[in-house]
Amino acid sequence: MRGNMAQISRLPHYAGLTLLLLAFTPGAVHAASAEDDWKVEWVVPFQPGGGTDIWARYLAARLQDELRDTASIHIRNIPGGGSTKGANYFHGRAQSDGSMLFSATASTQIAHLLGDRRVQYDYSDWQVLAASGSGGVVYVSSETGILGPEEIAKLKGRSLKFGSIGAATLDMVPLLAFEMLGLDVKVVFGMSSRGAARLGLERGEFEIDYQTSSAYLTEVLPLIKAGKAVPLMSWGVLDKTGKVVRDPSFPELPTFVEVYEQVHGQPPSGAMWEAWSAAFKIGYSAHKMLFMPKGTSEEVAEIYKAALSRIAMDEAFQEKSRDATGAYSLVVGKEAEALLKLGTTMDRPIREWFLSWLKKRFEVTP
Amino acid sequence: MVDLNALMGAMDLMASSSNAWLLIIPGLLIGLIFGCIPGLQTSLAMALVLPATMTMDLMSAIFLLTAVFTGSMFGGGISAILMNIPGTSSAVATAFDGYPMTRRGEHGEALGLALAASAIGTMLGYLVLLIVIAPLAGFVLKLGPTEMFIVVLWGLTLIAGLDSGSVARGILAGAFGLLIGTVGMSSNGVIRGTLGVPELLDGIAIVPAMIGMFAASELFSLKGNSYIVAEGSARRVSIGSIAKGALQVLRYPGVILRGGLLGVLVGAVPGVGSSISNLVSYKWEKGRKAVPGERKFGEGNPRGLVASESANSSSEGGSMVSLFALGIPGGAGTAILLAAFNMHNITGGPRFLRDHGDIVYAVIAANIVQAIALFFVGFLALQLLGAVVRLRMSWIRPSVLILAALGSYGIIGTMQGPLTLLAFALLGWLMKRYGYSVPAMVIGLLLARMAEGELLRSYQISGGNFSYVLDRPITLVMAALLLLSLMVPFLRKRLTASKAAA
Amino acid sequence: MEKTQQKSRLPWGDIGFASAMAAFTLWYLFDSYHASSRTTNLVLILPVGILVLALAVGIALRPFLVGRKTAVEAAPAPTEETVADPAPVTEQAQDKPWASIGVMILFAAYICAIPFAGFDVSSAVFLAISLFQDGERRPLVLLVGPILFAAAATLAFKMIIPFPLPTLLL
Repeated sequence: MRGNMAQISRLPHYAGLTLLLLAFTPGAVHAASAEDDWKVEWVVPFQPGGGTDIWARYLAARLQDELRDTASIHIRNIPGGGSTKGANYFHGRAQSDGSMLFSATASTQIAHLLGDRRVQYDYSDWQVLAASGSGGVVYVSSETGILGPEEIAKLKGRSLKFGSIGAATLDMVPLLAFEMLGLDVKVVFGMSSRGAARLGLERGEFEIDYQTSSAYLTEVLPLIKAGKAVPLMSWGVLDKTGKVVRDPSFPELPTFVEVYEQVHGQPPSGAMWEAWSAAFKIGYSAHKMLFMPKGTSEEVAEIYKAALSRIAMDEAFQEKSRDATGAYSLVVGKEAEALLKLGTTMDRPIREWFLSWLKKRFEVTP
Repeated sequence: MVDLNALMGAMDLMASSSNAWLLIIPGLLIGLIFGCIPGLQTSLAMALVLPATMTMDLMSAIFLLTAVFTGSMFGGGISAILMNIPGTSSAVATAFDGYPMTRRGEHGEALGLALAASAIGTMLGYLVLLIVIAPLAGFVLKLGPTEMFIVVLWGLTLIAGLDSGSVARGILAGAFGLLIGTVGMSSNGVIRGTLGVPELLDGIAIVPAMIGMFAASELFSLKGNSYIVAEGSARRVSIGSIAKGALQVLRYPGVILRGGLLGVLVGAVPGVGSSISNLVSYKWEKGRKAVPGERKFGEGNPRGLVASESANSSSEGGSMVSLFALGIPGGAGTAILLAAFNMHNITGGPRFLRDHGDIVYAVIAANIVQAIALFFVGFLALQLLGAVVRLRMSWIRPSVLILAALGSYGIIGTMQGPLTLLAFALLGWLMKRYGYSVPAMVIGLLLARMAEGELLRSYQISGGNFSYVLDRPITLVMAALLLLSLMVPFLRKRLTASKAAA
Repeated sequence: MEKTQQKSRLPWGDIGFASAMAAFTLWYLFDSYHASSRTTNLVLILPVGILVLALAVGIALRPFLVGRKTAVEAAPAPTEETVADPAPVTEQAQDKPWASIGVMILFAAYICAIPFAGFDVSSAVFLAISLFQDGERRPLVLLVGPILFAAAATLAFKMIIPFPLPTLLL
């Protein structure tokens, strides 16, 4: 009882301290909590600071500018399960009032198409608002002695190490490509990110690597300028007829198809090529996409669509984003829907082919 | 070594934003509160304020985020000292001597000591960073899988340094943690031990597991009508005792210096740095010669507390190395900082230090100021938080468990968090009851994923050929150092034994 | 500690816990081997698993091997670690595990109730029962305290955390 009395007599002291501390906490907390009428939650399925997060924040900031008077957009990072956790979260929670957006990435698509057991989402319940493609570049360490793409034949018979984040990911594209070119590539799995693989190459642990365009431009080009790495090929891009042509971001680099012809003397064909084309389309044509749930009221959807098409028309924005990510424009409307279709369809036989290839070659069942 | 141009640029940047300075105190407070509530983590606190920084200028954003970082690094120590429940993984060693001090009724001194050690440690960490960022970056860049595996091994050997009564039980606890930590999908895509539960594919949720084990091992075994501090008259938090503790730190300049330097070095290691720096420093201090008349380690020796707190605070500076020098975040906290940079159109990458030297120096300078501010903010806040010792266990136990349940839900986002908390609380109670070291198991759990990943990558890169290591001088040097550090205690014992015999 | 009381029996709890760890490890090794027997899968698990097995089996068998008389002394009694604690509170509770077990059952019930009763209601009820269990009898304290605390904690976390919190009333 005496203890309690003492406690009570100390109360004013604690209350005073609390008030004093609270008085110091004005702006920051306020800015974080008190907001305008319409709150929009934009789900990013990765940690802050990664490629998808940067893409989302860049676009979100621009969209916020457009919708300054209508909405306040908040990025919510829900990392885990190779983007499946964030996708499940969005799929389970998003209402048709347009208060939640989701930025998906190639890994979200691949997990879905390969039937990853963590997937609870379905693209057919979503509608795409904007999409942008990407490309990829394969390069080797200069320790291989290779000077350029024309010397790729010299790599034959040499054992090359490649750091991968996992077989059932976007890394399928390079893994298949290496196999098709007949390169003897030893795969080291479990890299935490593509960036970690690049560091490994810098340290001399790996001899061959690839990066998506934006990472290539910011992180690999300096290595190439310093004479530590040599570019081999880009994946290329699809033209209007569905043919692989040189990537306008790297016009000086041959595409994988060109290199294949150089090595084998004939254009690629067969089941493996079909699989590669499918994986390439899925992974790169719609590399990043912005979604909202289907059935969102027309009125709300129209606000987003109008704002995003204004952004897509804004040459200054496109110019700036091309500087950072390569020559891939942000597309909206019908164009985005076309990319979504490319990025989320995989024929049954090809899917079966992939699953058996993953099992046989890497003992992996997604 | 110090780029003067960039330093001048940093001064300009900081002078240009007067608002930024006003954010230090709220930032520290937010971090402090998040840090000391078990289950709320540094990264969550930083992620929470991140949206608010979108509309700020760059300096304000940096000031706010790093203040939150600094505050929560210290906050994690508060609950470790007062309740034996480290609020974050970087405060595990703080509890070893901090909590016994509290039980003796020296909580005021312990908190003051921790506050001063943290403030000085933070400052020291960033000062060292200012000087060694470039060479340290070169070192971090060279840490490949074999080197990282040695670092992890080193972390695991810390288990042996913990007091747990029986050596066999200590090792068993650590190894068992290591084993449980590998449940889930391996980095090779193989699924183990999940019993088909998809939530376990990403492995056991470490933070709820850690909080559960620490909370349970302490809270479940204390009686309801008791207080943490047995002696009734000592159950007060006076400014005097905190100040006394803070001044006491002056008696341990060597401890702080060693802890601070170790913290920066170990903190620079991506991934594990901040979690093990406090343990490394603690073990180091424990291995040194005993000061006559002081208490044993683990029974409330202030040296252990200072060693842990100075190291975990300075590891914050260390963690900035890979962000600034390589443009890659080494942990969740620095990843959020990088996201803030990106929102202000500053991209990471290997040229970050060269291109944005002024920002780097501004962050360093801001943190040195924050360290001073932390001292005063902490002084006020501690009087409030220290009041926990005035509460009866019957209140502390359920309320801490409720906060932990809420916090673990907040980290995972599903009931998986609270369920993990519960499962590991039961396990933790059993372990404590049968004399197994809970900290040892937590260390094993914390390091398991990394241990397996790095070992696997080493194996794959070397093609299973051990001779590969011979080509990696850094690995060899690190391995030699590791062996040496394991031998030193034995050698010292031998030496003293022969001296005694002579 | 009264030795006479323990001398007569084996430390069954200790043996059981060590055996349980060994059993789990055995199952886990089997499960991992079954998933993939390649070196890449077992490189860490197998050696660590064997270490755990060896130690756990050793600890479980020790009381039988060293004879009953010394067994109790050889296996560190649960209270030994807490001797370092200056206050004897821990020891008392350790000798009577039933109080702790009661707390744990209550905690388990609380966690399991969250999906149904939400954080707000289940936290308040948990706190109230917990206080009652610890001897609190003043009705005002049992009613108002838990409601205030649970409401404040739930609302604060609702604001803080990035996920929707299951609640019943708030």
